[in-house]
Amino acid sequence: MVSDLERRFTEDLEKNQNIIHKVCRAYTTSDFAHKDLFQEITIQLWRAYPKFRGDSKFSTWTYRVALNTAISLYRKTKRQIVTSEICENLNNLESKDYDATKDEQLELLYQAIRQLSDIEKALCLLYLDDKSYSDIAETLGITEVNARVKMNRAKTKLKELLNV
Amino acid sequence: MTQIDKFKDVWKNQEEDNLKYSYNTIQKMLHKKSSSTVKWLFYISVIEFCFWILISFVLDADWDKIINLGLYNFITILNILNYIVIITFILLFYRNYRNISASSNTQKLMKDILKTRKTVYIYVLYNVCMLIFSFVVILYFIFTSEDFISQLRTSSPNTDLSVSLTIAVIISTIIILLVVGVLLLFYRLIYGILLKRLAANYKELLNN
Repeated sequence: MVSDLERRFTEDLEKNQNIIHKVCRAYTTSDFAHKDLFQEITIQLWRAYPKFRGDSKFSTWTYRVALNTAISLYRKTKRQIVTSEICENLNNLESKDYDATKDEQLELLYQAIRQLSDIEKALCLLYLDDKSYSDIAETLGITEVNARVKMNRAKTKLKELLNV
Repeated sequence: MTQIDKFKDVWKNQEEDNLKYSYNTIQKMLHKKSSSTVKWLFYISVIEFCFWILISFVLDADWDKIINLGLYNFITILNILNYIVIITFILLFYRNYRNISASSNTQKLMKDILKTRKTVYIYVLYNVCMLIFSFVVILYFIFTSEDFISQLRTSSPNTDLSVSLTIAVIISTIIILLVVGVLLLFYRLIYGILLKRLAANYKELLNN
């Protein structure tokens, strides 16, 4: 018997699952790990859901729990990044590569993000999703000044990795 | 439009059609078991509490010998103190554990996890200190008891008593230090594996 709460939560999550997929794609390197992290985020969201009072949007709340799970709660299985392959792809990236398909560009972006630290990944994801500094500071629990400093550093690193 | 803006544009327009889970798949996930660090932390902590409670039962088993050594009052006070400390730590641990929420901000979540782990770590340190203290007191009473000295005299009649006692003290100290060393190494290893990444992330987040 599925409760109303469970049905409502599953529907909301189904609609907003792209947020979790973005986080999973940034923090994992295999399909198996992606699904594993997605499942852990879903479990954490479901556990926290009874206390979700709707002060923030469901999507904002999901984003926060997803990032928290990826950074602090998820126990990674062997996390193998084929570094040489990533570097090769990134080194080939010059301005002419902007003719490449959107999918390729997106994959290159993800490959660059995966090379950053867990905190930098979160910062870059929030930046790419146009979150304000006050939102970023609130999500991560740091001061706005600290958020700006860290963001500038993470952005510079990302740009270097993307050769832009 | 700068090049990074073009990437941003691609990011915003990304489609995840190939990565969409159905309603049923998501619903099944809700009932799976979590394998998060917090869950492991909880299991390990419960094992630790049980381990030290069991140890205290094992150690106070031989009351006749304890009474003979004149240690009855000492062991009784120590036991009462131990139970008070165990209950306090279990309550503290439970309170800290309950405070851990995945919807807190990242810094608070990390802080709460590390605080819970710290509670258990202090509990372990307390037990290790108590173990050393109890051993030292018990060994002192054993080594100064008439029974032990007469046994020592009978077993090695040609050796000087002070030399025999010194050897006994050194051997006991080495055994205690080895036990404590192995225990501490074991804890460092477990928590190292479990929380190393989290501790590093916490440090990075707080640093300017």
